[in-house]
Amino acid sequence: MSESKQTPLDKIPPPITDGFDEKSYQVLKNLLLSKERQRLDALEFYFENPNAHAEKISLALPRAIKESDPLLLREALDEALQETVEACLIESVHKEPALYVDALYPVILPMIKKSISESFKDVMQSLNLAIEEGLSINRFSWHYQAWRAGIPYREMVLRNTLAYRVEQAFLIDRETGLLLRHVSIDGIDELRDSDAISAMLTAIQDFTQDSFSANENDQLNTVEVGDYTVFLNRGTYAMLACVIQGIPPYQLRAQFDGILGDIHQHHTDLLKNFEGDSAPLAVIDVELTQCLLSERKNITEKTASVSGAYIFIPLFLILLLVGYWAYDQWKFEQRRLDYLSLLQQYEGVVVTDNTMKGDKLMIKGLYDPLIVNPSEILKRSRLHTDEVVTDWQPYHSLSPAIVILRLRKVLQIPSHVQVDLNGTTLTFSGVAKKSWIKKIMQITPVLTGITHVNIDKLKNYDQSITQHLQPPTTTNFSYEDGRLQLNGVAPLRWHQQATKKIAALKFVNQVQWSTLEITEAIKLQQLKERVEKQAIYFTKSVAITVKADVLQTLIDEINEMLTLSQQLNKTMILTITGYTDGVDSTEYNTALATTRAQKMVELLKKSLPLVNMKTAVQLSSTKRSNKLQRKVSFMISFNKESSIK
Amino acid sequence: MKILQKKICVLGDFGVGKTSLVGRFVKNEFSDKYLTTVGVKMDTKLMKVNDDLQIKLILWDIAGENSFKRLSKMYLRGAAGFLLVLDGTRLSTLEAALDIKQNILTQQGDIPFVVLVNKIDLKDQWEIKEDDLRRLKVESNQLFLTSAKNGDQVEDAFYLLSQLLAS
Repeated sequence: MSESKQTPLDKIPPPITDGFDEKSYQVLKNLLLSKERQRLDALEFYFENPNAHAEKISLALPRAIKESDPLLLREALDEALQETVEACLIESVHKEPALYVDALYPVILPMIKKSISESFKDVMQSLNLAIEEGLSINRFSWHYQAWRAGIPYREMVLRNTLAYRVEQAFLIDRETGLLLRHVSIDGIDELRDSDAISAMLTAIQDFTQDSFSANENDQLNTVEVGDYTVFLNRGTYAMLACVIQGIPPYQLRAQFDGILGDIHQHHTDLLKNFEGDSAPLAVIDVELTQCLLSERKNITEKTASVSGAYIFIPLFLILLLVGYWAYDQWKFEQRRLDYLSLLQQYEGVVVTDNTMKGDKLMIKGLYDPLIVNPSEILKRSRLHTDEVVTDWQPYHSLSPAIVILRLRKVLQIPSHVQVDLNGTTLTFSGVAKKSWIKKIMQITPVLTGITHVNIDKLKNYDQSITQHLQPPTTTNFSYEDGRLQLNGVAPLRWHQQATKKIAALKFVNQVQWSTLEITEAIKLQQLKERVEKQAIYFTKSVAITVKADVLQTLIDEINEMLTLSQQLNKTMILTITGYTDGVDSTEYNTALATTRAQKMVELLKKSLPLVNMKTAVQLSSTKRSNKLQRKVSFMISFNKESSIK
Repeated sequence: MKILQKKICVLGDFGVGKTSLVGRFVKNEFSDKYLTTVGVKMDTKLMKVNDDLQIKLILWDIAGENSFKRLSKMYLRGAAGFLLVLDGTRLSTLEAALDIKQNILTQQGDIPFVVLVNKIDLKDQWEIKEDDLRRLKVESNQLFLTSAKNGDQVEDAFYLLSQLLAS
């Protein structure tokens, strides 16, 4: 301890001198070195007690730090203080957290707000983009484009929604073409060896300048490759090459120029002294990153305005499809019900099952082939043939209507035959040929559903005609296929009655009357012939020479003719012709013949007032006397032909 | 570990095997079509020089047809070193190589380079003789007899150039 209190002066050994004692030496030393000793003591105190010079150090320290060499002392100082400051901070925060909360509150709160706001904005933008594009036709197009290009879908969405995007920036040494720095946006597949790219850009620039321009100031400014544009901007030491996807605005080049200028201004020494080591240039990355700009296409409003449509168009289409499907199903159901109803209307068709199999109607049932063809029914329905699958089995229907229908087809029942089925007893009525009646008696008993046949009311044609017309024995007839021919002779009265009765015979379509003679007509003809053969003779003058009974017979015959002609609906005209011989003159003979005819008319009128009479004259062609020419003759005519001959 | 980039030009007369040598040395990044269109093809190769340093060689493979024309001169700008390639089977490539060397040293100053006499696998057909090789050795400190076909001394040549660049 005693040693520790010694000052450096105390350690100086006393010189070896003769006659000079220790005490004297001390006195002398005090005299010579007292001031220095005091200063040394003070200095010793100063160094032994740091607190003593804290005040002075506190005055000098800020200035010392401020004026320290940034490369040497500052770094050492930072290193020395780092641990201590960190420990102090931790200790302090633990002790007084509220103090730091209060201090940082004005800074942290806006930071948190901004952070949340930005995060929320990102989420909303992503959500908007997903909604806007999720249902759009772009989605499919972009998926396809992404697949073609072999890139993720989100990348393709960005490409299509960005007006432009600076994906990479190269800072290249102008002299060597070496890459100084390179930055790119996250998620982008970087180009291949960026060092080689850098060199190649330099070479291409040299190549184009050499090829197209002799002026060294003319340099390559833009390279366009597909969707990419490379802007080349040059500074004194470095060239900036920015790879831009999309269509960059013109102003972008100016922005790059500004950034490149800033880089040159702030890092001139680093750029100027570059010798291949790019690590010190990492500080430039901050400014270089400012080149990675992007701008979204101004499609927000458009997409917003149409995004609703993008949502509703598919919904509308879906509803339309569903509606169409429902309508189609309803129409099909209507057609199905119509078809089933149509089938029920047909005798001889029995539907045993109808079900839906997929989109087709399955129909199973029985049908009577003699009566109906189910395929024809289907054609008459509103169903398409390819909508129905059928399974029809043939059978014989025992329905009375079907049995009769089958009989009509098998037996070819004439139209004037009525058929009635009562249980299994079949009754025929009406008129038919004998041969057909004979045939049904043979066939009908073996037909399905018939056990008894009754033909009591069924007549053949001859029976029916005879029974109905009751012709006289002098009359016969023949009937074939609706044509009735009457032969022989029949009285007028029967004829008239038969004419009316035949109308009631429905199976008679045509009547041949020409071969049937009327009794009254025959008689009339006979009387006519007889009267016209007679002549009434005169004397040379106008006296009648015949007997009274002859004249009376003539009158009776003419009267009977009148009666018959009236019955036959004819008007009889009696022409009386006067004759003379050729002895006298023509004028005389004409007058004589006329008088004879008129005298005969007057005579007959008395007995036959209703008979129409005319007179005529016929003179002789010879001049001889002939008493047979002194006469009148008779000719009978009918002015209207009757239908009865 | 520190990485230094260095621009290296690969030069020589046409057909001496420059591209094949580079192709043997590095994994090709660019198609050879660049050679015919732009006249230069880029490749890179990272060479470890020592524990603290790697050299990234940016190889400018310059088409031989353009040997030291104006365009080639532009391509040579800023080169840190170069590989001078000859074809042992063609004597004419020796003179061409010496011309190129002279010109590039004039333009770029005294920069490191190595000489590669290629096609050693065809040694029996060589027109370049021992005397010529001795002459070459005088002209260049580093001479390699290489074969792009089987890779003889290719790696060594590039490694040496890297060492020279680092020193």
